[in-house]
Amino acid sequence: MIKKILIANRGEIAVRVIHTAHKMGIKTVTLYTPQEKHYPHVRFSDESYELPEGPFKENYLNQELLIEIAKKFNADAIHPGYGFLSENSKFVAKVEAAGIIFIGPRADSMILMGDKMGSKKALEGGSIPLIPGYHGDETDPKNLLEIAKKVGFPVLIKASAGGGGKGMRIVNHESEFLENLAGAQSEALKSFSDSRVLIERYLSKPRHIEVQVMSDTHGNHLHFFERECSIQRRYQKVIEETPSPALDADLRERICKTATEISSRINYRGAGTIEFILDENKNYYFLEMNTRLQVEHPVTEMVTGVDLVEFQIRVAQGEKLNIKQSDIKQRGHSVECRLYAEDPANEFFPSIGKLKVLEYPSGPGLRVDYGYRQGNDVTVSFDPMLAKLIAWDTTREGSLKKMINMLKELRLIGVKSNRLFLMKVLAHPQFKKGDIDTGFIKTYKADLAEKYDDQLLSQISTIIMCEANTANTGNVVSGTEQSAWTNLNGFRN
Amino acid sequence: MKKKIILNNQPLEIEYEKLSDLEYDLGSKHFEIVEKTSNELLLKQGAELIRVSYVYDPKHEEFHVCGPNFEYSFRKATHKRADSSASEGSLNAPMPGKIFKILFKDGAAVKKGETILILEAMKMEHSIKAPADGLIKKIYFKEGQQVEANAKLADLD
Repeated sequence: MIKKILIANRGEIAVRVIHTAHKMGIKTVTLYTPQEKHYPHVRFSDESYELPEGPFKENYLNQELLIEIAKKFNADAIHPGYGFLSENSKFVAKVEAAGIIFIGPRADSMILMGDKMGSKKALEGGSIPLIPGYHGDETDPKNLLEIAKKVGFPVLIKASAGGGGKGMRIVNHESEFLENLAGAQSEALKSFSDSRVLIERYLSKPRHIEVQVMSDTHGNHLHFFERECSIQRRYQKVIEETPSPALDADLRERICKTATEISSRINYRGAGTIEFILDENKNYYFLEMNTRLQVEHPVTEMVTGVDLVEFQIRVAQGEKLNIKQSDIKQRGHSVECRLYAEDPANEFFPSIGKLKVLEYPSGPGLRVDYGYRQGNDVTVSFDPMLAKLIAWDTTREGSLKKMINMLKELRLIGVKSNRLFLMKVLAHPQFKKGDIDTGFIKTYKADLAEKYDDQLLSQISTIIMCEANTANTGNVVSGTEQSAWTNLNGFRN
Repeated sequence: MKKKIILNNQPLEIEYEKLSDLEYDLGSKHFEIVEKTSNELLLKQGAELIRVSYVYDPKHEEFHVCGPNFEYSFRKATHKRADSSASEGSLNAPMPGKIFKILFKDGAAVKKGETILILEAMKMEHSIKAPADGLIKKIYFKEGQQVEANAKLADLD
């Protein structure tokens, strides 16, 4: 049985793993670089270790160092979170060779699913629906152009290795193909040291639907239903929900069954997510499998009432999943918003600075998974996701309303954020109807732009100016109720 | 009484009357202060309560405000900005990064919203755009160079 877990990650996901580990009576060790000393994930663990400052390969991606730390602290397991080393098969092999449990899938599943071409080849010829396309090793532009013509325009060019939209291009016409291909190949080479790309038919108005799966080492392959993740910017999800408004009972059953067919076919272990594209005509196609816990896993937990991290840990220590597929039910509706330090008015470019005010809301059916708190600095070193806000209610309408209210209550000063932008999406009539696709943010850009009521703002400004005591400047920033607490924890001006 | 402010880079003049310690008349609207703490005001306008959080940044003599459905900054119109790096006519790096591409030469004319150069930061490309029509006086960096946050990238006329 696992007694102590080294969490090879940071931020909100490290905090998330701590909560479940402590609930199960398991001790935790977290990591931090000197500039993260005052971040939440360092404060909630039993022990923590200071990594050297520097590029990720010297700290969070330093495989040997992480294994050394696990041994030093007598941790018998490593939880990789998401990102960083969570889908690195070499790391899994090294961890297991060191006699430490890796809380995640086997290395071979990662190798298979980490290669988008390989995974599709492995699933070809069966009952798994695949998008028409090419997933080979060809890199010659002329040959790829011929292939693209056969697939049929519009096509999507994507890096074969890695995800997150790197090297992704949509090409509408044959004439634009070579230029876009060159860009995609060089970006793929830069990001993944692998210039191979795959070419697929581009589906119009696609929705991103994914299915949460969980498998134990005793042949049980379960699913925990779908998540709709169509609201994306820069090819990254910002709002996720479950159940998806696009699925009826029949389609839901089919898509979830396909997911467990895949997990059982590759004899998967632990938590995973099977991503699908759903087109306008409600045809779904396998996109890829993420061999880790997802950022958006909380909506599944809210609706099915399970603790996915607990299942991950139990599976890792060889236990059987103590739940039957027929006992897993969707109850109500849950939505998640990712609160980013970024500027929606400027192509969602990250924003850095000190979080002078950061107050998270709370209430029944609300959950906040956060990695930053008031007084912390948002720097260029890390992902600018501050927190995930999650709402649950008996209906979709209810949980969306709860989310809007949660965003209204949230207070954030010090960096630009997508708070108001998220509220605009949630209140948009098309979103409320559930009529969304992955192009939503681009399509409704004008509706989602910030608009000011200058009159009201100028009135409020006048009152602030009359009431604020700016003479005593030193105390204005740190004069909140939390100030003493913030100062104690290294608030620097 | 009158106050002049710069709100979202726009100069405005507001007429107001303070009726009592806790009551203001602003144009056609009547505001009441329900609660006041050092960084928060709870205002009542008609039947509506508005909770407003704010921080004063003495360095830039600027207020940063966060309310239920607004977020903005303003400053007194009479004050010159203390920080010369943020003065009009210069472009500054929003964060540390690398100059990925420069699209104009010194002396070139640019239109508002045109991309002058592209900064690569946090694995993303960020377009630095002309804030207004004008001439580029000088670009201070070359492609491939590393820049610090707030570094002056270019002077505009």
